[in-house]
Amino acid sequence: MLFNIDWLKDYVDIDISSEELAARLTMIGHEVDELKHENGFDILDIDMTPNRGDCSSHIGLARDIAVMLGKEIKIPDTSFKEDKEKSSDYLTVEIDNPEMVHRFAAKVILDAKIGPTPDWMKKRLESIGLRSVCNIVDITNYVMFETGQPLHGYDLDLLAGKKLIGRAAKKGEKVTTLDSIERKLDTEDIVIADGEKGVGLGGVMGGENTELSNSTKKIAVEGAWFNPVNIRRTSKKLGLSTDASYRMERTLDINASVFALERCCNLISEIAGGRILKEMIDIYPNKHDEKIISFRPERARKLIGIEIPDEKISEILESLGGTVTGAGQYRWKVQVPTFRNDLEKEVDLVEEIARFYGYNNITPALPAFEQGAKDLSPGRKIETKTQDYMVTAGLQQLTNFSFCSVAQNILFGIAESESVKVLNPIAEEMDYLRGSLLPSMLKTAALNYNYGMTDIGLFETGVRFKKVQGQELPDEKMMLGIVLSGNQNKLHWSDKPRKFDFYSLSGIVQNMPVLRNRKDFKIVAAQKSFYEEGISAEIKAGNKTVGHLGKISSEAASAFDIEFPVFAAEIELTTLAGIGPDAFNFQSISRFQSVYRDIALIMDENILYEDLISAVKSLNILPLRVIKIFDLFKGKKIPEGKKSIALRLEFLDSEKNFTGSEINELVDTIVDKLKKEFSVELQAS
Amino acid sequence: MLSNLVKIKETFEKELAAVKDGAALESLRIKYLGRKSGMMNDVMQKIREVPPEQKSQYGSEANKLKGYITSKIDEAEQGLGGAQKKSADFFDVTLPGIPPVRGGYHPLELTRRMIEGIFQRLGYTIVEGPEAETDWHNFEALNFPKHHPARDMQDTFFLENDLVLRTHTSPVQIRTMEKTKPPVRIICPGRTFRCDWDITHTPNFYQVEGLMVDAGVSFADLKGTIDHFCRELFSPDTVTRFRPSYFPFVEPGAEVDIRCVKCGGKGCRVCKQTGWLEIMGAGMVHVNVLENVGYDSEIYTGFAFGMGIDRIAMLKFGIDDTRLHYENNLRYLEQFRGVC
Repeated sequence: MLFNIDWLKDYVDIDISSEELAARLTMIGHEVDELKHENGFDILDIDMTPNRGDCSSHIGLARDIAVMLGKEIKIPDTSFKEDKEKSSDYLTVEIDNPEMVHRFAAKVILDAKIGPTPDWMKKRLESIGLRSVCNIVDITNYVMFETGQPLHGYDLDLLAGKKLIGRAAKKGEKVTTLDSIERKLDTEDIVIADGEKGVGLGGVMGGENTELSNSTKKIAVEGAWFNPVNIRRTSKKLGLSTDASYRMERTLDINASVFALERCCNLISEIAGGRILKEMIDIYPNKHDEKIISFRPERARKLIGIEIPDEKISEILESLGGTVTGAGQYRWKVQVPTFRNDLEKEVDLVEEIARFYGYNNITPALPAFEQGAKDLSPGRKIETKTQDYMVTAGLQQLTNFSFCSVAQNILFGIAESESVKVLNPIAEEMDYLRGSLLPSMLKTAALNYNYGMTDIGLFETGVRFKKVQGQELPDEKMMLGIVLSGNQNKLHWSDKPRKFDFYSLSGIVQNMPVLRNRKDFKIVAAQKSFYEEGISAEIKAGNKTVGHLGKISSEAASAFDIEFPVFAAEIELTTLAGIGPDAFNFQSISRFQSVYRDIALIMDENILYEDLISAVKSLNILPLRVIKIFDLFKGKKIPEGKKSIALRLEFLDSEKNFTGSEINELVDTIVDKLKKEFSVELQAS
Repeated sequence: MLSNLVKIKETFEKELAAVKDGAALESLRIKYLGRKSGMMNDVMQKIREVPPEQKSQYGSEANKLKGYITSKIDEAEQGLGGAQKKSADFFDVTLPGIPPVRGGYHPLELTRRMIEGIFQRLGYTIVEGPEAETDWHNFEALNFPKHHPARDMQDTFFLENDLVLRTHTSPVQIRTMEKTKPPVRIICPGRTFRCDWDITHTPNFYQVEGLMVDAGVSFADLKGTIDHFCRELFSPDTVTRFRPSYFPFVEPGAEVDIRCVKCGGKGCRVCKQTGWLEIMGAGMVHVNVLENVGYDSEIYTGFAFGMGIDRIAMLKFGIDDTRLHYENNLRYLEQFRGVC
């Protein structure tokens, strides 16, 4: 909001430089974004906080400056020569809905000369961004920026029945505003009407049908207090925010309308002449009570944490326009001026005291420290542990937006009915909340690939959203996403690169701290629509599916213009946190030597490694410490439809070293079991 | 038996000294370390013949010898430089080393953890909450009435059924206080959303909200806490400035600035020539908020503060465009691998 410092000086004696004024205003809560020097004026651009509607005028801001500088406020001249005739002889004012219109005042001016505006006023208005229209309109605007009270002038001859009525709009009622747009209204909107029709959208914008013109002879000027809730609703609904609605919705001083009309008449008589009819028409059915706040200076001292004497406190309150009674007692009564609508409670006064005492004069203290912090929530703990692991595993963390398109959700198995819609999206393809991390991660992969960074090992932890019937909030789960493509290790002069493949991915997943110690953790083949046929699996913890992994299908990849192989996984960290980790127990270590035996087995190629290992484990051979594949071979000497798997067996006993025949016996048992279950053949070495 | 091991070692050393080329070295390796007929294999097999009381010593000596032979042969191979010639070869120590496989954290995660760490050391518990919120938790309970202009301060994304994407992490305050009695000392980091997108705004971003409620907490306590935080996060000589501001859920309300980290207060592009950088909003928890969650505001007072993690990251690392955080260009992200 713009303020002209020259103009402010009409109301308060500012004896400091504009620069210092700007700096000090910032320190009492009126943050100056910029101090401009334009056309001989110093202009303050202030970021006005929404609680301070009273400061959206030059007098309003001058009041705070006066308190800050310890000066008196100077109220402008509101005197004028009154005509013998009465305003009420020419105009009737009525309030039809006192809930919406608390006060409605008006004045009638005859034979004023509508014409150009004097230079001084034009320049001041232009300095705060207003275009000059004609003297009468400019005066009403000037008074609004001076006092904060919006005023509106009507061509009285165009008012049917010589009436102004403040009422609720009728459903479907139409009013064409000054910007020549026809506004369709409902019963929550406030209309100013004459005897027949709507002539203005109360508190927002005047009507075109009664606009002042060069031929206007009789002028009615009106100032009112409208219910801020209605004004805001209307302004939001119509997308029409005006200088008037801005001030109205921040709650006006209930007494400002009469004061502003008098000031307006003063300026009209001075600038446009004419006869100003006597007596104020002032309809005020919904009387506002005087506001008296119960206040304890001790409470102020405690809450702020300062030692400030009573006298100083009451001095600040009085300088703000308050009236203090009961000083010296524990509890005071403070009557606050009508222009300070933001002051309602004791704490509002406490803030005023802190503000003028100066926040920077408060000595910092550290609160007593009694109890320690609790550990991270299970969810955040798993999230951070997983991040740590992924970084050690060589992957780069991403942070993508939570938004996506519904098509992206559907592509990754989240139906439209499960997708959470954003009603006011910021961009196309960002009109839903992501049900999976993978679409945005694939976009990131494509972006980097196109920049020439083709070795991509990425992970992200973030929330995915799903709509759940009968639940107030959408279901939010913390997910881990992994996307791999290109080389696993960066090319080094002494080394050959290894490409990321399914096993690099499953290896990362299998060794995740939250998974590797789980006895019930398994990767099982399961086809997902977005993974390539066969190279697709689910991650199980017991009978719960906690994620999936695979190679992104070329159809899914093409949605992101990806033409290179990409492997991806997504895991529900929230679910894993909910299950909790398996208890970990240390096992004593043997002091004897391990004996290793290698066996190569030929078998049908569709026998799953997982099944092979389970069969061996079912034998429950305690000394068998590790069984692990070290080679897999097809073709050449191996018959069609078969494969050769080489296994290394490690035997270790906690009590003794083995003899060769003992080991041979154990190996035979294992091979026999596999022969029986899977018809494997021992390959001659 | 043990003396046998000593003999093997002596012989090996002699033979190794005589090796001139890679082929000779390779046959030496097979002689001693060959899987089937290597001498060490034989030594290992012989453990069965060792009397029981010597078994353990023999085993360990045998292992030691095998390790020795292996390392000596490897060493000799290095010396031959793989090019199979033996000489005091030139060795270039400046060739790039083989980097260990290591990824990196996102700068926002790094910043979040720095902030969390400082408050954890002050006894604050880290609490989280939902990102899609009710109007009550995001606004109403925080003293933003339905038709109040204060709602314009935060450009809100709306969802169906009167839900919003939370515009700040302050609703976690409400959720925590609704189910906990004072004293409360929490910080609430998390993702927040506002309908805004330019060089200093992205439609989602991260915030950390802090809250302390107890009997007798004052604005002076707030100042002390924030001062401590800023000095820990930036540097011990960081200067803060508190100025009055308005957030509906606190009163007295404040905006906190730190002296510009770039120019030290002289005025520069980063601080827009003011010498100060705005870093958070703060204030005493509004009595209406305390009452909304059923706290007795006569007994309990508290302070709250909130800052943008993205903004702090920009200041810490000198980043000039916040959109970089969400573009996820590896050229950007990989720069942060050295941050500790």
